[in-house]
Formats: sequence, C-alpha cells, structure tokens
Amino acid sequence: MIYLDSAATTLQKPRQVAQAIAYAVNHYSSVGRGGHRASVKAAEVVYDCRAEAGQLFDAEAEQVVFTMNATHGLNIAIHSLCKPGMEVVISGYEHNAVLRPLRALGARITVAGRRLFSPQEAVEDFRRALDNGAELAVCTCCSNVFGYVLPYEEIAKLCRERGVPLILDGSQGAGILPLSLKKTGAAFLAVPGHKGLYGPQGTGLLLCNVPGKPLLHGGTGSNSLEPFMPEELPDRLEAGTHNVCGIAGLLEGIRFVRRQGTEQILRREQALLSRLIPVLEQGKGCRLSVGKGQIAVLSVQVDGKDPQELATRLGELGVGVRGGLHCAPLAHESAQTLPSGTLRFSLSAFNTPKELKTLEALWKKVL
Amino acid sequence: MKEYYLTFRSLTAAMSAGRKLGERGLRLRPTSTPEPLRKKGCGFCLKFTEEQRPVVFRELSRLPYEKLYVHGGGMWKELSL
Repeated sequence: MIYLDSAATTLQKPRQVAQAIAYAVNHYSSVGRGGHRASVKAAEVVYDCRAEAGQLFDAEAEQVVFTMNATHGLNIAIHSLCKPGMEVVISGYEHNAVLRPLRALGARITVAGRRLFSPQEAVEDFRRALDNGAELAVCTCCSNVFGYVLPYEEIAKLCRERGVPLILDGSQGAGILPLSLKKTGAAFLAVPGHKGLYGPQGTGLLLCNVPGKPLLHGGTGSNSLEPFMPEELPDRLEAGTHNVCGIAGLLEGIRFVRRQGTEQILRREQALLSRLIPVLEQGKGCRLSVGKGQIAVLSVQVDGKDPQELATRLGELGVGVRGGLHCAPLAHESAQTLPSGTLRFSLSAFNTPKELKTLEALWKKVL
Repeated sequence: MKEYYLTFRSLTAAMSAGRKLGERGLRLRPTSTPEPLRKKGCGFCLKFTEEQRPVVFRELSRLPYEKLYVHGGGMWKELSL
C-alpha cells in the first residue's frame, strides 16, 4: 500500500515501537498499583516517556500528562479554561476537537485568520480579537487539511503580553515543528501520540503550564483517602490505569523523532511534498492548495469529482488518502472548499520518492 | 541504624526525585510509604541510609518531596531542614 494519510495516523512506525508494545503487554503491569517488579518496570517506562516528551516539548516531566489522543487533551484544556459565555478567539483552521467542546460549553467564538496561507493577517486578526476582549485563545499550530503553518509563536506572544491563556493544538506539528511549552507560555499544548510522534493510537500528551480541571475522576494510585483528585500534575489529570503498552510504544516513537531531529524530518517531508505537487498538478481540472512553509499535508480539488469518491478509487488501487471534510468544517469554510471538501495527501518520514513515482500512473487512472 | 524517608504526593514526583538523585550517583527507587507515615492512604517514598544522607540533603531543594522522616530506635520523627 502507498500510505499517504499520515495526518490521520502514521502507519509506518519505527520497528522499535511495535517491539516495545509487544514486550510491554507481557512484562509491564499497572503504574503505582503495586511494589512488584512488573509495576516498577511499568512506572519506569512511563516516567521515561514523560521525560523524553518533556525534552522534546521543553517541559518538566511532571508537566507531561498522558491522554488518549489530542482530542482528549484539548477537551481537558478547554474544559479547564472555558466558561459558558466566555469570549474565545480561535483560528479559521481549527478541528472539531476544538470547535465542538467550545460550542458544548457555550463559548462566544470569534474566528481569526480565515485567509489561507496568510500568517500576517492571522496575527492581526488575533491581535484585534484579543484587544477587543477575548478571554481565551485556541490555535492550531498547523491545519490538518491544508498543511498551513499558523504563526503560533507570534500569537502566543500576543497572548502572553495580554495575560490571555492560550491552548495550542499541536496535532499536525508534533514531531516536525519546534513546539516549546516554555517559550510559547501556552497554558496547554495538546498533541497526539499516533501521528508525527510515531506512537500507537490511543496515546497522546497534554503539556501543561497550569494544573487544569480533571475531566475524569478516579484512582491515581496514591493518596486514596483524599476524596478529590490531587491538586498536583500529572496525577490530577490522569485518573485510571495508564495505557502502559501504548506509552511504551510512544516512548520509542519520541526517541525516533529526537534521534532524527524534527527539522530533519520536516525537511525530508517537504522535499517529498515538492515532488508530489507536480505529480498531482498534471491532472486536468486539479486545483492544489499550496503555500509557503507548508508541511507535507496537501489538499486537492478536482473539477467535477467528489473527493470522497476519489479517495475510495485510490484506495482500491492501493493508495491510502482521505477525502471529505477531515473533521475540520471550519477550515473548509475559511478556505471556501465546502461543501465537498478536499482530497488530502499527507506524508510521513517513511514515504519514498519511488512511491510518488508509482502514484503518478495511478493518479492519471482515477482522473 | 537510622533510615530516612522522603514522602511524595505522587509516584511521578518520587520518580523525578529518584532520577535527580541518580544524577548524583544514588540509586533510589520509589517504594510504598510505610504505614505510620501514610496520611491519606497509599503513597510513595524514597528510602535512604545514613551513608546516603549527605548527598540527599544537599539536593533537597531540588526535590519535589512532601515530608522528610527519620526512623531509628523504633521511633519515627519528622525532620524539617
């Protein structure tokens, strides 16, 4: 299969990831639920993952909270900071993982930076919204539909200067963009384990500059007589048994990213993207959304053809892509690609030029 | 023989302290907090000896511990430095 759907989940992982998961399932029990070897070993691998994640995202180990995915992390963050009726500014490229919890909480939402690949405009829009009284800001580092890298560092600076808390969605940026909890000063940074960090599904990280409010209440393995969740991180936001096997795999994924270097991975992916663009462009009626500094996520519209049907046809030919709205209707509204959405190609560190060559013939076939 | 115990609010805090002390050459693994020291049910601690005490005490300001105890002669005593 030619897998070009890494914005959903990376499918090819470093071999150490599966090895770690296979080892964990038979050797590690639950963290902090016993003093025996299997529990101690579990605690060590989980802590190692916190420490590595802390290094990657410029945070202390205790600031690293394990989640099921970025959606889970974003829900914790949004429920921690957003109150009903609160004025919240978001970018025009937010995923439903941001939009739906905000709507559920009754936030009053201002959308900033609608124009695609226009970072300066996004900064000005955010500035205006913050100066007009926005009490919370949520911004994706990078659009999952268009690969547009938003000016999150500048937006973070605006928020810091005004004392407005910021939630960053690092779903597409983790593993390739410089994401520093310390430098941005974001209240929360949510990332999935299963995309650019090459971990398994069911893992994610929430990097926390503030303690937050628990979304789940339950056992934490210590201070059990306390009737409420602990005040301190990470336990405060980690009720229940950890996904130790998943975290063991995520640890190896993060180690891979750190060994390769995020800049190196990004450069490689962008080099592949520059080969992909001419392949797709040559189709009649194909319109590509391309912009400066784009990560290797590329949306295409083909005149007269439905993106989901194209994705299905490519799937039948052994090419994995995604068509439709990508759980980000706001992004499509901003970029005016509604109602059908787009056909999305998204690359990883494991794609090869040879695959793109093979894609060329298959692309002609589906068109 | 005296034994010292640092108690922690979470296993992560205990492990973090253990790693920091590991940088100073001490191998201390979190264990269950002894019953007389448990205030709120289960907990985690780092136990260390008189011999290890000078190194631990030098690092105390870096460690996210809750309380420090000494156990000797059948007695428990909380220490504050």
